[in-house]
Amino acid sequence: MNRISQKILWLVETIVAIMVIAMVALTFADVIGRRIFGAPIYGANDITEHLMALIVFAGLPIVTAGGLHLSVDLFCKFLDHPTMRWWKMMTEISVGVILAVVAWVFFNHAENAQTIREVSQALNVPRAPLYVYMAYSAALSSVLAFVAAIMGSFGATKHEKTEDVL
Amino acid sequence: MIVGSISMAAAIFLAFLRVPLAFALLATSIIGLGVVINWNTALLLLPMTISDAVLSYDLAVVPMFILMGNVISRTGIASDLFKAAYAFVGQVRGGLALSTMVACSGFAAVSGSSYATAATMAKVAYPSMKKYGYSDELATGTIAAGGTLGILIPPSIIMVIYGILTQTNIGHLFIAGVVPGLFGLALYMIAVRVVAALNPDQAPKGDMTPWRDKVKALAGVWPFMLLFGLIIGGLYGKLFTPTEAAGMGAGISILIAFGTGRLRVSAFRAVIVETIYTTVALYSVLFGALMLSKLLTMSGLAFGVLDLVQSTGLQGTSLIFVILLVFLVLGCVMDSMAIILIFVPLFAPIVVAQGFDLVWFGVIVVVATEIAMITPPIGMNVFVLKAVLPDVAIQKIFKGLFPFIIADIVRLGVLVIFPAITLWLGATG
Repeated sequence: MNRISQKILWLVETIVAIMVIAMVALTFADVIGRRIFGAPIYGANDITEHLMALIVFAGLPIVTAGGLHLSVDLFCKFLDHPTMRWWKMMTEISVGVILAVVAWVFFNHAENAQTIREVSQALNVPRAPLYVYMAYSAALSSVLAFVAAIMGSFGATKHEKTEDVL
Repeated sequence: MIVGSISMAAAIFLAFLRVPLAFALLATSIIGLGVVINWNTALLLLPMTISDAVLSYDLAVVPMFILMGNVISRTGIASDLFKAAYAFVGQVRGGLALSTMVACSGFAAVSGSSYATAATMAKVAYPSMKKYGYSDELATGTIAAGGTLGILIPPSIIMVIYGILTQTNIGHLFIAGVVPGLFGLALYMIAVRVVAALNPDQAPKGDMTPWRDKVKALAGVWPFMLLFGLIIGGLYGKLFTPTEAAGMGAGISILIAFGTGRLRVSAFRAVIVETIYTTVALYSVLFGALMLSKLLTMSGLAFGVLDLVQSTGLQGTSLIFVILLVFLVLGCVMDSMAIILIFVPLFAPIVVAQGFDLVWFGVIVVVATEIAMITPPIGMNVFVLKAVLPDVAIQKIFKGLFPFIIADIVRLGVLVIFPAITLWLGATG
């Protein structure tokens, strides 16, 4: 990974980490406010829900690019064999296609939300921009899955060539 | 029904071929729904399902409990729990193993991870047990089995996922897990005592701890007591919702970690990043499971299986035992989370139709899948332990686990036959 992408990763992780801390602090303050001072924070649930969406979809491209999604490792010895690299590539392409579908449906979902003026329950925050954000996140994740598929195959080719030379 | 069955089989097949679980479930569900209803509806359901889940306040419990577990795990709580438990039970035969078991259940409860518990306790407790001459079988068996205990004791992420999938009250699930979790601990401790009695040379007595040191050791576990008391007390006393309890737990664990000087800012950042990755992976897989759940209903598979079960004449407790047998067999080849995500939406309607309580079913299903974590051939906790302790043969670990697997089967049977044990704290679906 080059230095620029490392810096971008660090920046995104830091922003998302701040969101997580904000969510904990908000919930903490809301409970204390409600139980001790009888004064909950208005719209705290709404803000938490939005923060969750922001956190999950900010992390999606990183988790996808890093291959950190949950998987069943029952046949890992068989699937890790060099002859099965094509399957790994196919898997990553499939992930990319599914994420592209998710991106596409979220762009449509955002349009519908805009049309019906969908807003959040307490604070009346418009949902459409959030759905657009989710769509872009899924689109970026899709691109990264395709890149991982291609880079993986490039890597495999290089590795095979090295083995041939040896 | 046929489309539902094919989609489900395809999802399992793809998962075994290491297609990330989230995408195996999403792909098969979208295609299945497209065929069963129509493509437009399937593609409308997708963003609706995802946005409903990601914008759910109840689900925000997941990252905050994960954060709490990750933070408190870094404060050396495992070692403190072990020292405290040893101070009280170390002097009896098998005392070190008993201490390990208590510490495992406490650490697994707050960390929420069987794997993390097995890996951490292997470093904390194994050297002491070896020093005192414990056999590899008993030492590793204790650690691997102990890791499975915390999954029932709140907070439990797997219970949250079950609650979301079955629309069961998460607070009730947490409360219901307490007694079966402690019952499991008691049975494991009996198993240790039996092994120690049969093979006294494998489990020698430890040193007697003076009362002053006992009090001192107990004082070291106050963060654990505070968090556990806050979460259980808050939920049972209906002071908090599970999400609020998670927020309080995470907030207090951060204050404790920094207040006691056991966590640095750089380590804290790493803890949060780890939390984010786990959360994203869990949410992704949940999106897929929720879509699969819709497919199971709309394809008629859930009702088809229900009809099939009714036509066999199986009902009541015998039916539950058959379902648990399926979960146990699945557990031999799949992870607990994967089993719950894929199969709970299929079996939950049958359980409801038979008049059983979904809170109780959640507890016994989690127990069944956790047994799978220590049984051959996969037994993930065993492999985690093997990775940390490469010099111990895997056969020895499995051999050491035998008494604990017996204890688990006894626990599962008792919990099925006497649902009141699970529900007596007042938690019902």
